[in-house]
Amino acid sequence: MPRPVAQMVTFTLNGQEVTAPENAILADAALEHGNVEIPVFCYEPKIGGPVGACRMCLVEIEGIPKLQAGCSVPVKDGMVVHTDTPRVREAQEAVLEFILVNHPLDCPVCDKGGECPLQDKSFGWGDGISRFVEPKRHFEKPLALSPLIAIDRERCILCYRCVRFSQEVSEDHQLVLQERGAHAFVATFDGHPYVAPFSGNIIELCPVGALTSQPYRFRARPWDIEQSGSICTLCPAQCNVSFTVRDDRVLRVLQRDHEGVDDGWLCDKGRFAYQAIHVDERITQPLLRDGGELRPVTWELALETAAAALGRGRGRTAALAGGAATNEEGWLLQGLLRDSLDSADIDSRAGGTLPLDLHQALGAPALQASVPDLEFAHAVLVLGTEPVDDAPVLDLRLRKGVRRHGLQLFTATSRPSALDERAVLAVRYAPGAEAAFVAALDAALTGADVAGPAAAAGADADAVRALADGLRAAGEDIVVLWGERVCSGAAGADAARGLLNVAARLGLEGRDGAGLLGVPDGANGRGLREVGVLPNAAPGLAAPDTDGRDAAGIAAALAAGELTGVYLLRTDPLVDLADTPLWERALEKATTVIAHASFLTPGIAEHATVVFPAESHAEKEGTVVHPDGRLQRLRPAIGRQGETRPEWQVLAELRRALGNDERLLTCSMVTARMLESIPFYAGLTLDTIGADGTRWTERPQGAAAPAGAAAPFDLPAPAPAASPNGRLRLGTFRSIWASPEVGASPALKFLHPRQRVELAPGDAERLGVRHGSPVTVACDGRSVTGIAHVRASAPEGSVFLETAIAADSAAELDGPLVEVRPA
Amino acid sequence: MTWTPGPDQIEVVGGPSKAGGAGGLYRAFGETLRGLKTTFMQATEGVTTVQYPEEKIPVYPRFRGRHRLHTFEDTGLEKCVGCSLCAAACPSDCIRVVAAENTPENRVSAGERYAAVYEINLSRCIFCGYCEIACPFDAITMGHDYEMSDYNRSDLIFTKEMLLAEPLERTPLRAEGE
Amino acid sequence: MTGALSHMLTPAVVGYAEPWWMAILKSLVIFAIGLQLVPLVLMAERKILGRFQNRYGPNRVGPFGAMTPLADIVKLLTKESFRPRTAIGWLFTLAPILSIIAAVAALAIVPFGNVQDIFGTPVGFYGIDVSIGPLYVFAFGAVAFYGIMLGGWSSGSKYSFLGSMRAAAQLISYEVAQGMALVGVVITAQSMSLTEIVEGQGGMWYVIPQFVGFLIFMIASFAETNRPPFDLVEADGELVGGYMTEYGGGRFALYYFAEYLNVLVVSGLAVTLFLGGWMLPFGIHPPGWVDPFIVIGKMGLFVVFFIWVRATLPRLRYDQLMSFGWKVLLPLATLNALITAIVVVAWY
Repeated sequence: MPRPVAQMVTFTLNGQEVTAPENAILADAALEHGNVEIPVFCYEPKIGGPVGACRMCLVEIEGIPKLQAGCSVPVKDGMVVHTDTPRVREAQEAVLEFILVNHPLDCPVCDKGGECPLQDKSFGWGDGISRFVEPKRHFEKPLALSPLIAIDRERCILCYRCVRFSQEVSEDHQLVLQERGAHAFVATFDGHPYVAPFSGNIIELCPVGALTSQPYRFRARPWDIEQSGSICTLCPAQCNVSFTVRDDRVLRVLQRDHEGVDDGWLCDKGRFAYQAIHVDERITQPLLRDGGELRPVTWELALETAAAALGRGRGRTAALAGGAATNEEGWLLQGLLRDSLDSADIDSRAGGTLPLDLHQALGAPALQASVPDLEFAHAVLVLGTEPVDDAPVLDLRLRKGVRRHGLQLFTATSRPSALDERAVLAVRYAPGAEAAFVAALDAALTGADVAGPAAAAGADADAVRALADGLRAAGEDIVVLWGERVCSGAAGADAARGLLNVAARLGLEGRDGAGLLGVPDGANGRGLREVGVLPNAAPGLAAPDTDGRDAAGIAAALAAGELTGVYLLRTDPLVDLADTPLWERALEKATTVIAHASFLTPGIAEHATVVFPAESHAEKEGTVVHPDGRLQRLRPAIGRQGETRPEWQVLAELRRALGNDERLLTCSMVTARMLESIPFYAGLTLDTIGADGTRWTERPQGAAAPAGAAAPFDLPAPAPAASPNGRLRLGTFRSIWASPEVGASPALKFLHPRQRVELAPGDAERLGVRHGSPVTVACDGRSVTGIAHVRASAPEGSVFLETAIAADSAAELDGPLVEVRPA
Repeated sequence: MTWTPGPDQIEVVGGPSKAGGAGGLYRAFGETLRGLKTTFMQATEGVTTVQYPEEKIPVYPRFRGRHRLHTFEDTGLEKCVGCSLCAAACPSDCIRVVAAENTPENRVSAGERYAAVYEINLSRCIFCGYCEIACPFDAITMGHDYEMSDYNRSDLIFTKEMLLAEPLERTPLRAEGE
Repeated sequence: MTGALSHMLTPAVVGYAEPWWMAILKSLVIFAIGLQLVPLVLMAERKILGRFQNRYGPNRVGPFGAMTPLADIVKLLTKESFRPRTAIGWLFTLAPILSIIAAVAALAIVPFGNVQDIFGTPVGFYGIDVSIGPLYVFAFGAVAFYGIMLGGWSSGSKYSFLGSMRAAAQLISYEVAQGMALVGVVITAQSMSLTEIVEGQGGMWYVIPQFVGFLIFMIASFAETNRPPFDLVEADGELVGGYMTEYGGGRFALYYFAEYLNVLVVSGLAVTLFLGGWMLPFGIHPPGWVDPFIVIGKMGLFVVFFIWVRATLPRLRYDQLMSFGWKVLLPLATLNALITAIVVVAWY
């Protein structure tokens, strides 16, 4: 449903004429347009419509005999509202007195003290004296609602915000209000801990100190801390965050509401993984491999050794950039490789690269949907991605679109998605058969033969047809949210062409509110591609002088001895990339492995020769690009811990040592040079990017982006997906919790994943596997073990394993078919 | 137009006649003697010096000296819950509080929360007493001790243990009505 | 020249002959007594000044602070003897020595008693009794002035130089009045020998007939010794420390010493010339060995008076100082000498 256009009306507020959009909630309109604050507790527009539970917002409206709740009344033309009459004051004082009847006066102990809406409202609208001398209600306190959240039920004023969040926003339906009247309290229905990907948001929603963060518990007071706005780079969603800093330590992460990015929500990884910044395991000084062991050394020695090794390996060195790298770092890295080391072997995509014209076409400004488009589109097709894992806040955005704006959601994934339950239609296909599925969808949209490609994709031809019809029927504004894994692997290019075909058939190009939105693997995957961290693209997605090897090619060349060194910028191939056995051989063979890392993950610990400490996202400076083309700016919130130096500085230093002194003295100089070198970023500066970021795809200069290949393409007949034949198709997924930061954060550690083998009940029964029992998954003589997770929605014939975990990762297995047996 | 003084004019009283001549000399001599007498009379009045380290002037009960932290007499638990309100009230920003949570094994204060670190930088403190006023639990009060000089600035950062300890009774307290 | 000098230094009272060793012995004794008296004066000044200002004065070192001067001396002597780069080395060193020599030499003529028999040897209780008495004092006063002048000038500092310039003008101005004030006494006693002047006061101390002269002498003495209210030479508000700004340690101690020795010398002169020296009023004649104590006691009174004045009077403005010296004191002293001369001539 397209965004509603509001008509402006005029109403009278305390004798003053106020113009506001019609049907806006009175409390919002009064504050935004009339500069009058109507106190509210339960009302929070982010959660949804008004409930009128707390009665704090009572106002007098002429013509209505009783006082009305300001949070529930829409603004109408000619309405006359009074918020400061004696009647209103008396009501407000009475409501506050009621609310405070059972609220304990333990503000000095309470973590909310100093930033508590109830304190503010009591000061602003309360009487100051309580007549209530009877004993207050008592609950055991504090209880752990989850390992991350403490609940103090005495303090709760029963505003329902947290329950509504759980029911209506994250839709995990875990929180409920138990008992009745004064004995009511918030809890999970079954008493289990409230563990959900977005549970931390209720801490910020709570208007009193009833829900508090366990890791932040008693750490600081509002006057002890400073807030520092930046971007979370732990996933491609790139939520805007505000770091709470005390004594140069990050103590908390809060949302920094940005309608165009995160809508004011954060996932628990973004909210709690800050703890990994201040743990002992973190690498904070340069390490050098000496006699088989990594030992701390001085920066000078580390840089000297790295420069010498790179100099020796000129022309035989490759580089890989991880998703957390900024544009500046990527730009410097490709410069280091291409200019100083005469090498073109550089990649930032796990699944290999695409032909350059397809990269250009998929990133074309006219085809880009924005994040709010997900909410306001007529239909969204989630293709080959699981938003909760890949870009969590987009999951909430899609749910909001479905719930509030009549969005028709379609999912087409190999692994069952959490969004299936909200989707009009959920289509399954075989793992790894994305190209075939896209071809089938293209065929369905053009009316060609669907059965062939659908069979190759392991999908139901009727379902594909229904999907095509559903998309056609939903409306014109259609957004395809696709994951990078769709366009990866051997058939990646075909899948990309098919995707462009689908976009063309649906007429997505050039339409506002419609388009493609690709979720990359790495947090800044899009930015790294645009600054030229691709084997076949120079900065600005221009054609490079020579094409190099992609990630898989680099591994093979290293293993074969054609390459001798590899530069790992915030990535560990053994964790982040596929085909662990090949990478192990490759790293074993490599004479030089230079890494920027925060944690000693397996590949770094065993194979790196030089390790530079990497900055955390709270220390970083630079820019990143959101999947929808928004350049966002990272600002350092704290000083660099230990001896850590910024990555851009190390890269610039190495370039200088190798003979390219570019006089890059500050990060903003690097940013300026990087922005200059890319035509479609022309005219951008750190100032114009600003606190909210700028979508380059919306700027006129964005037209300078290369157009790439033009759809439609003729698609080759897709190769059929492997037939299980008693074995199971191997599908992989990367959990939201699969990151070293989660493993290193004391409070989040319990969520750090171990191998989980997802399979359908039918398969489980056939193989004699019980839910929760250990199983072995084997293929070509290699095997991993994990816990069986029998999932009713999982398609028969497939098994899904986690990647990006330190032990028993699915990357050990080659596929496409694996054997599963009880361990 | 000439100015004529009104009825309320101020009478200008002349100073001593111009010095000089035998009269002036005589008067200067006399005034010198008068001065000598004045100083001599002063000498007979005795000494007003307080011999500070040996003698101390008693302080009033409301004198604001070095802070003290208090414990409950019956349980021995600290009154301070580490709420940081003193730090918020402090105009010279000399109080640092880092709170922590009480556990059944390690119960320090009466509430859920206690001050794991409580430091007052006395070299910055202006002894205004706002912390005492801000404290919701009467956990911090201003004591009477004013002898806090030290050789090292870092020694002037008083920790919780120092503030909790019974101070040396070095300062006499003024008795009622004194 | 040598002859004239030896004539001038010929003992006035030729009642006995002093062996040469006696002169050495006496000078040592007087020097020792002088050195003992200075710390006492110093201490007395601090203590008494304290009382005038309702405080104790130094009382930390030794009982009642009695060891303070000793501590002072130890401190001053153990301090580094630095000298400014712009100073003229040997003059800078010489100047304080001149000052102390002049002060000690002037002390030589203060008679602490008449000639007494000690173990059969007649001994005059004084350093020397020269026939030119007061002139000797003025002569050494003039030498002491070199000490100040050279010290200020050779320091190479503007404050020192200004201080010494002031000192020069002040000392010269008041020396005239001081000398004229003594003329009355000399005329009355009809001798310049100090012992004879003391003997001449057998009937009446000269303070009574020569009261005006006494006053002028005392005022001029304050100026000559740079004591308040005439301490413009070292007015610290204006000149930092006057001519001794750049001095420290032992050299400063010499100046300091000389200053207090000068106070003693002037007190001794006042006692001798106006207060009857070793004699007591009301016909009391103690035995001869008491004489020095009487003189020292009377000197002590003067010292107390010096301190008392210091506690009372503020410092004069420079132009007032000069006009007072030239326009008031000098005419008055001249008038006093004239009237005395007339009265003496008419009387006898």
